[in-house]
Amino acid sequence: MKIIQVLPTIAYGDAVGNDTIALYRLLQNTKYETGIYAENIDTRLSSELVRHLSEIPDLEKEDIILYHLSTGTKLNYELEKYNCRKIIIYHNITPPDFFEEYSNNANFLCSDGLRGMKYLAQIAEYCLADSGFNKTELLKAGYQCKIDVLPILIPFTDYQKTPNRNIINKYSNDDYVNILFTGRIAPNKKQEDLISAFSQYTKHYNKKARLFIVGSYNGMEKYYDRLRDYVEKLNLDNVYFTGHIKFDEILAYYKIADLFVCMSEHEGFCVPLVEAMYFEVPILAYDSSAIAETLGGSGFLTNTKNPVINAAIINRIMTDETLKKIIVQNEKERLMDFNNKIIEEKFLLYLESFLGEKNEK
Amino acid sequence: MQKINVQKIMEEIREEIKEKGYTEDMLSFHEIPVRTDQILDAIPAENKTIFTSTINQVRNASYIPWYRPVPNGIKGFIKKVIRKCVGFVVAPITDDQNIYNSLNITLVEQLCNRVEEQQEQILKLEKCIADLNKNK
Repeated sequence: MKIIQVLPTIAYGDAVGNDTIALYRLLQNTKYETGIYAENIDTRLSSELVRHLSEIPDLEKEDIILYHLSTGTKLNYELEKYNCRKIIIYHNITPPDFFEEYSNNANFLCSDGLRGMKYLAQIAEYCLADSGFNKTELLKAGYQCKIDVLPILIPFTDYQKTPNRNIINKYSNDDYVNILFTGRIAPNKKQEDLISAFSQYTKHYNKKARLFIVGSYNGMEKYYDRLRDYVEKLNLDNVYFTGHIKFDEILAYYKIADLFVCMSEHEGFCVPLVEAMYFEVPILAYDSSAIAETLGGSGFLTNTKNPVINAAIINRIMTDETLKKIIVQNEKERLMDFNNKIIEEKFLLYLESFLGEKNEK
Repeated sequence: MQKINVQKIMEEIREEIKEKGYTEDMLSFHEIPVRTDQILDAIPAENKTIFTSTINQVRNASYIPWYRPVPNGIKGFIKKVIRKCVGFVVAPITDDQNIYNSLNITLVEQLCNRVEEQQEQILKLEKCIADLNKNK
């Protein structure tokens, strides 16, 4: 029996790509034949690992396609042509309105993605959602099949690689507070709220602080330029946009971070929160979408976008050692829930349960 | 997990802000206009690595073989027979498509090089203008 994974685009090192590869390695150790098939394949991924969609083998009725749904693509409408069972792994699609001012392309992809998601409701026989928030979105879109929640698989072993020394040497040997946010520069992530809170923090509490906004702005140049203009108008010297950087550099930023702040308004899971937990960086996050669920009681949740209040919270976490320790300790505990072994076992259990139910029928 | 009394902390913070008289009056992000002098979704020069990587991906995917590998067995045999029958129609079409794809990628690369060339020229001219202005 074959269980293959299909997705429109597989990128090297992004959350969906990592999840796909981790599931592939897991399925390789089972009795099932498996493979990854994508339309666009990152050149850094070997052709043995991922094959082109056109190479999908003949599938029988009992075979399974695990389809990773995260964007708009014609594949969403073509999936039904495969004569086999289909499981949707839903990673979330950002509401297109966020991109209206900045990118026609992203706006279109997300609108089309949401249409595709609704279309797939009639084809999906079972769904796995990265979070309860994602599950709710599927239910709202009319999915009637069984949906289970399975957190994304995160490659923690990669985080043990050596971080970039230059960055660590440059920013860690002084008394500055390093505030970090990692993730694509995107309007749903609301980096402007981060900047405004940082501005108030440096104005009222601590001038010796830096804000690192780590992430690619490819395709979001208009939003990026607006953010830069905002920083300039606020006369902030210590805001750093790194753009797309190497993995060892990302690790270094986590190493030097004193606080991770997330003001995002739409996340289907938010892997950077788990990364911050791994690096024992206290988290302050705005309570939206799947954020509270991923934090699972750890971190510090704020329900306001008021920059003065958020600046005061930053100050409180940075100056109250006991509070900081509790936050980090809670994050350590929460991190255990994302242990790959636990999630892998859950995945296999869900899969067997799906197969069992189908066989009974 | 140890409970954090967020409510209490927030009360203390609000009290502190009130006492110190901190206000929210600061420049809002909404007051910053979106730049209009930019082509939507254009690739900036500093993102050349990503651009090159995308071009490479497109180049790798640009060649379309006119047939797909087929498995052995009866199904495979039937598919091979069909392939033989339609080959004389499909093969020349995919050949033309492949030539077209290849030309397109070359064209995009040439355009990119042309933009770079022009950017260099602009820089040189700007320098000339600056020098001339200095010598005025």
